[in-house]
Amino acid sequence: MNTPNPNAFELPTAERLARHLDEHPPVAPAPVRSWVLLAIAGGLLLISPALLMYPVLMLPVAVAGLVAVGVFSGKVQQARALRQRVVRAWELAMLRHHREALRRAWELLPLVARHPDLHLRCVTVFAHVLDEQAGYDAALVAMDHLLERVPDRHPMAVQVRLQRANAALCSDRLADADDALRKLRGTVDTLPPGPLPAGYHLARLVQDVRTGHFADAAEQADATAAHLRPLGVYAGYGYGLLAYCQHQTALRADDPQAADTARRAARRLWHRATLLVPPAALAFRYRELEAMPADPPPSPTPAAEPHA
Amino acid sequence: MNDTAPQPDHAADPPGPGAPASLLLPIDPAEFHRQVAWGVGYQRIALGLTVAAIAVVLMLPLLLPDQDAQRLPALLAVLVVPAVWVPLSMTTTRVARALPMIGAALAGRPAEAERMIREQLARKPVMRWARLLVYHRLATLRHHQRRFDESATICQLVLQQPLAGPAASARPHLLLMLAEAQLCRDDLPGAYRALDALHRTRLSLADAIQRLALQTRYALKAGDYDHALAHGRRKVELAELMPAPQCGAVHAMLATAAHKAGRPELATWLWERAELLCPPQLMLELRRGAFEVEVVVPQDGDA
Repeated sequence: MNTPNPNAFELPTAERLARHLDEHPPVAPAPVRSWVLLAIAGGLLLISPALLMYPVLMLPVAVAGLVAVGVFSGKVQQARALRQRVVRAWELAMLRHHREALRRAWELLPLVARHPDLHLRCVTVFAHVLDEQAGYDAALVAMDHLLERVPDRHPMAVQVRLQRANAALCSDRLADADDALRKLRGTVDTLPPGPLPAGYHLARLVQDVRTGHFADAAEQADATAAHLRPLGVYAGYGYGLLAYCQHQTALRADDPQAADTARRAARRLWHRATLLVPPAALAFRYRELEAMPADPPPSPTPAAEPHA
Repeated sequence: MNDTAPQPDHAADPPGPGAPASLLLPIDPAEFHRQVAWGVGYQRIALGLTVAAIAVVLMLPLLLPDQDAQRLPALLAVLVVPAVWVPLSMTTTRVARALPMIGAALAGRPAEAERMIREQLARKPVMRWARLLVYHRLATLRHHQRRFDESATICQLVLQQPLAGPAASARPHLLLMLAEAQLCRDDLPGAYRALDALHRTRLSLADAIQRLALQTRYALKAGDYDHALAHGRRKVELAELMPAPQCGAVHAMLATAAHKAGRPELATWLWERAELLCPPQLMLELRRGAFEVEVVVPQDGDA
């Protein structure tokens, strides 16, 4: 039997994603539901004298009550199943099954319109996957959609704004990114060390690289590297960019000794980068890194070991 | 599960952060069983009375043909249902509403969490699922306080009960806490049983990642280094989803396993990654042997 290839799902264009989001906007739960409950309670109150007068009438009322309970629990089960499907799509995105996660979130969006939190989660999957797959234009659409719906002071809003600035830099929207980073600086300065400030430092580093400020970035390399640590393996991208800045500084240096120092720093940082992220992934995310010399040789990942 | 869990030894444990030992709620398995049985008994009686009330209402026309005579028994039958269910529902709702507040207080305000748990445990009657969830929060609090004997005891007590309804979602977390508590108490058979139960439980990605860390720690403690390294690539990929410090700690554990299993290149690679991922303070703790880690890789100053 032929099973569909999960990777066959095409990345949507920005226009297609915007249309999909417009066609299936989140809908707030209808307030009429609480009125229905009140109406039922009122109705029971009204007919209660009749029920006491003719107790046999309680039978149809009890049956109607049981049907209502059955319908309600069915709806609850349905909502629970839907939540599980959205969580699964998110987990697949985390596990880097990007296309399959995207396909599932795409199909779920029309079904979760009446669940604003699940709707938001589906759009988060779009933003994350499209960003990872270098579909930056569409990722920006998803991120803008999120920013319209998440309160400004919410940590998720700060994270999305950072991701958005990064995506804008990756798609050469430098002015847009510069504006976003300026606005973020005040917020980030108030935060304790952690992934959010680290993400800000990474975005600033990307900005330096894209605007050609290699020497500035190289000068701050040690401090920036320390700031990047809370990003986990994603810090590898930062180390790669720092290595690139050192490499460019070495190429531009007039003094042979300074060039040698920068070259050694570049090698050390590139080693760190490739310890955390494979070179192909580094170059896929930041095209400048294709220019980095392939030294040192690839590390022995567990995949290369007999037990892997 | 470990059926022969030792009784908590308050005198031997140092008081956990947040509250002095004398103020801590005592963990008494007999009291736990009494509380749960009380709620279950009340619920059964309420259900029985409801069924009886419905039967009375339905059979009234047969038993009392005179409609005027039917009114009083019908009224009593109808009143019995809210009279038994409303107190149960109200107290259960109050407990359920307090649960998120307890959860929010667990990490930063343990004394407040302790007070709220004490209040909720004093409420009666409460449905079983709500009572069990309060005990789940108490186990979490004791776990945060590093009182692993008590945490393990509560986890075992709760896991022995049928976890249905909203309480079912607490099962993976209870098993994870139990496995970690048993590892901290050096009870390897107990940890194995908890990990085995986790393997038979459907887990979310977040829980699966926690299980990976515990399983690796267990394998190191048990000296089963090859098992720790099995499916290494997948383990590393899952560890990468953790926050940086935890990710680094798992790398350090795997590096120790690789070294012990005689795979120096892999050990070096994992250790270098750990050094990049862990904050300096955690690295210091790992070098001192935290999480069964042994410093096994010569430092070349590269990473």
